[in-house]
Amino acid sequence: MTAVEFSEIIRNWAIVVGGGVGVALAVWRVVVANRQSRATTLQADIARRSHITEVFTSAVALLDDRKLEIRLGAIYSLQQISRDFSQFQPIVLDLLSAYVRERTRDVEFDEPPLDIKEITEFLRAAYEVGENDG
Amino acid sequence: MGSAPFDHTEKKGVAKALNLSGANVRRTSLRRANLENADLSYANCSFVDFTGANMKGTKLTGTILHGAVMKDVLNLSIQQLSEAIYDDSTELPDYLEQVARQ
Repeated sequence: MTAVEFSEIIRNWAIVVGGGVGVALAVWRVVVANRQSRATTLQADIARRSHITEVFTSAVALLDDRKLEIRLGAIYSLQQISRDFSQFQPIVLDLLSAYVRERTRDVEFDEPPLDIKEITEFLRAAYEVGENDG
Repeated sequence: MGSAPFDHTEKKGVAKALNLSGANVRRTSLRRANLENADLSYANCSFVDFTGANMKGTKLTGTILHGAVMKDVLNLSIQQLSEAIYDDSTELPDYLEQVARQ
């Protein structure tokens, strides 16, 4: 084997090894980027949930306020959460139904108070008969 | 992922039947509401508009229905109605009118 042939073999091996290392590095970069992306998504989801929980908790606390306008604001917030995040809808419906039951039990009125009217309209729409029901 | 109390897996839509037992909801509207298996027992539903509502299995024990508009309700039975409190001002569906007024 001549010196030239030997150097060609060495060069070819260097190319193969270098290519292999390059591919391995590329794969590693993809894996790391994927992990980072998942972590970012998870963090965003946790932050979103935390925010909704905060809004929800505040709204629930305000349902007991003595001022009608504050209670109405709380009711609108809960309705919005229910519309934007459908997985919360059953909780909001339960909560607002309970509100109507507790606030009107043994209470006489001719026309329903605004908060009760607002909630019953919301419940009516949420439970509206679909085209395939009935 | 997620934790109580929000870890619900229900799809969009109503998870449970409506429960307004004992509530006073007079002069409100439940038009076209799906009240299947809903609990309206002992509720004051005077002058409530039930037009087009599905009342299959709705609990009406002691429910006050004075002036209620029930003309076009669906799936209401005489058995359900017999447990409620209604009078001549209650607008009953045609298919129950005669039996209910006897």
